[in-house]
Amino acid sequence: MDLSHDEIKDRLPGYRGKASMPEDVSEHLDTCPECSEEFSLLASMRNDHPPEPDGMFFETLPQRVSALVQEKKKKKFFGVIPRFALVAMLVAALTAGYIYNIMKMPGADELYAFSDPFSDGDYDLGALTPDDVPSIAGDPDLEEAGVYPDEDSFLRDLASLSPGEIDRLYEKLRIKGGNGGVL
Amino acid sequence: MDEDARLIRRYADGDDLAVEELVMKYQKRIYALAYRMTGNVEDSKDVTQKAFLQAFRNIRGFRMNSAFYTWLYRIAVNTCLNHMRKKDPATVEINESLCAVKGSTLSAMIDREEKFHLQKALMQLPERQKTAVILRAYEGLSVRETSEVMQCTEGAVKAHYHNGMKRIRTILRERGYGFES
Ligand SMILES: [Zn+2]
Repeated sequence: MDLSHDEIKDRLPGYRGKASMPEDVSEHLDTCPECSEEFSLLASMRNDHPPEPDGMFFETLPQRVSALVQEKKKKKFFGVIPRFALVAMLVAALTAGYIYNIMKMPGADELYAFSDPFSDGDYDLGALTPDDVPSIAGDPDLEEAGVYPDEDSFLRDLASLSPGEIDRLYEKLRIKGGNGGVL
Repeated sequence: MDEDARLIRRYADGDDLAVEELVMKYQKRIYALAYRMTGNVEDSKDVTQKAFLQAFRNIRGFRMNSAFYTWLYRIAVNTCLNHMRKKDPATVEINESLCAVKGSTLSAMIDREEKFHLQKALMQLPERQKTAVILRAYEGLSVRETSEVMQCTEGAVKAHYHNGMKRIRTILRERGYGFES
């Protein structure tokens, strides 16, 4: 009895009204207050429609979802590039390292060509003269040097330069034709 | 091939209009489901949009041998549950209060009050019972369809549904509601 009771209840959501159910089910409802109550409760649930969303929600949702789906697709496409670029950079770095190793293989002499001119002794800071000043003063490219109104301010700044800044200054002078006789 | 399968094929072939057609076809059902689950219009709007986005984003996970709507329902149910879990329980409430209705007739008032308590009772059920009751009683899904959505056995669906309905009846009776036919 209990099983058929549960079986009936399992079937109830499938019926809209008593007219749509088989005789054995409707007969059961007539004699069973519990199943009958459950069927009434189901009818109340089905009649309970959710409140309509405000504004133009249903009118605009299809286009909104479509636009967001397309946007995501585009992002996915462009998202591939950085990952690809990362791989390319890694390959380039490995290749560069390989080439560098080949280049330095012939001997230590070639290696010196890439080394810091300050540390290998060729670079003589004392050889810089006030004649070097015009080549640096007023040069907009050399931000570290700035514009010097007089020689003293230039020399003061020169004394406070870091090794890296001196390297860049050295490069600048070398490009400008070896002013100061550092090369 | 049914209509949904054709639309999904069109979408896979790059026809974005198919997205709009699928949303148009199911948006009211998904919104209704979301409202039953969350009891709140704003959350339901949110969840409905999210569920469709999830569905199209994961369309590769859909198998043509099952129905699109049960798959969509599954995504919508999971989206609702995640949304509710993230929310502070204190803020979960039914936002259609009784006093918001002005100028309604007495019978409409009683009807509305009954629905309010019904939705409130539903919100008190544990997740699985609530889901089973919503899918079976409100959405009219069969035991088999519900088991597909909930990813559990048909026996488990029946148990969750029966326990859920029993609990709703108890809650409503405590509030003085009977459902004699
Ligand atoms: Zn019965």
